[in-house]
Amino acid sequence: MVCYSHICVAQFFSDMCLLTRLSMAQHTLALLDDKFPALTTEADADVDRRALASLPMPTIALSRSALDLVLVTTIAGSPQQRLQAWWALRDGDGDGLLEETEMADVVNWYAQPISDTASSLLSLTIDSLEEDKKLKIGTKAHKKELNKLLKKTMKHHYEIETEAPHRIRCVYAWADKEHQDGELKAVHVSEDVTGRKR
Amino acid sequence: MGERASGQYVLGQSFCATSERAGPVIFRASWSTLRLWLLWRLWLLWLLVWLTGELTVRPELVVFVFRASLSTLRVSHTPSPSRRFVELMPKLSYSEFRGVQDFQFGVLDGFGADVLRSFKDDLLVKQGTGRQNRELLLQSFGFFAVVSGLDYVTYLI
Repeated sequence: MVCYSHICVAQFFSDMCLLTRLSMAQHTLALLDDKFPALTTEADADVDRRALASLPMPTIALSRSALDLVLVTTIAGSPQQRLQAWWALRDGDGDGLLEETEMADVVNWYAQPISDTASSLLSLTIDSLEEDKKLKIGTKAHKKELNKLLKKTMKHHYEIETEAPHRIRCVYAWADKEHQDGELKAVHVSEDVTGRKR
Repeated sequence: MGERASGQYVLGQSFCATSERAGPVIFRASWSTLRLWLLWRLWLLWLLVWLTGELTVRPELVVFVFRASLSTLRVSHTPSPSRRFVELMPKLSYSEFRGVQDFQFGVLDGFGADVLRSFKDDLLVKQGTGRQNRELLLQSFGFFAVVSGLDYVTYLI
């Protein structure tokens, strides 16, 4: 069988893309399973809004189409599409707007499967290193050292390298918010004569 | 035994310290001392109330509102009844989010590549740790070896 190098590389690249996407889908499903209670719970501020408007509490159910969209964009979609799909899934009340905590959830949940996938693929790569005793590469101690370094990288990357929590706060603070004219709305609830908490 | 000054009240068993009869002075109080003591206590109580909360005195009730209330936004510091508010932060749409995220958190779009780059950087740092010291040590020993050799040759000559 004749194997031209560019065909081999293209095939290898295609296989790796498929493996990456499937691994990401696997981690996304695990994340969805883990975050199911959070996804089916309305945000505190939304509960307050409904209570102030005297609206009944809705039964929150995940949107099937939004869930499908998350999985489809995970397998074949751009990062922007994936982020938008997570946004739509987190938007339980369907108004297209999210609270700050919900926005932070979207960003965290979007990033976590990617991080997990990179970690698992790098771990696979480290495990498949060929042993070269002369260069001290691929030995048991070397693999152990690399795996330890990988764990350290994964632990520090999101919060320290990327400074994600800080950036999420900045994004919320700096965005031009049309809702409530971008201002905090303080709704007077009661005159408390006795000073007791209710 | 010394006489007690008029207007002095002795609480419990007490003796004058200057009396001929030796004995411990447990407590000796006069009206002036008691007044001072009460004033001091009242001042402390007022300080405590002033620091920690707000006291409302009315004919029908006396209310003390502890200042550290978590869910209440106090808009007035007058001794009137406190008013309760619910604070609602504005919500954000996806387009508004994208507008800021593009320049503030652009790394999110190439997050996978960023994770790999971070691992590569850590790997390079780990491989390079101690290399500079090793090179310095080698150069220092080389220098001393050359100087010692030259010194030895000079000595022989």
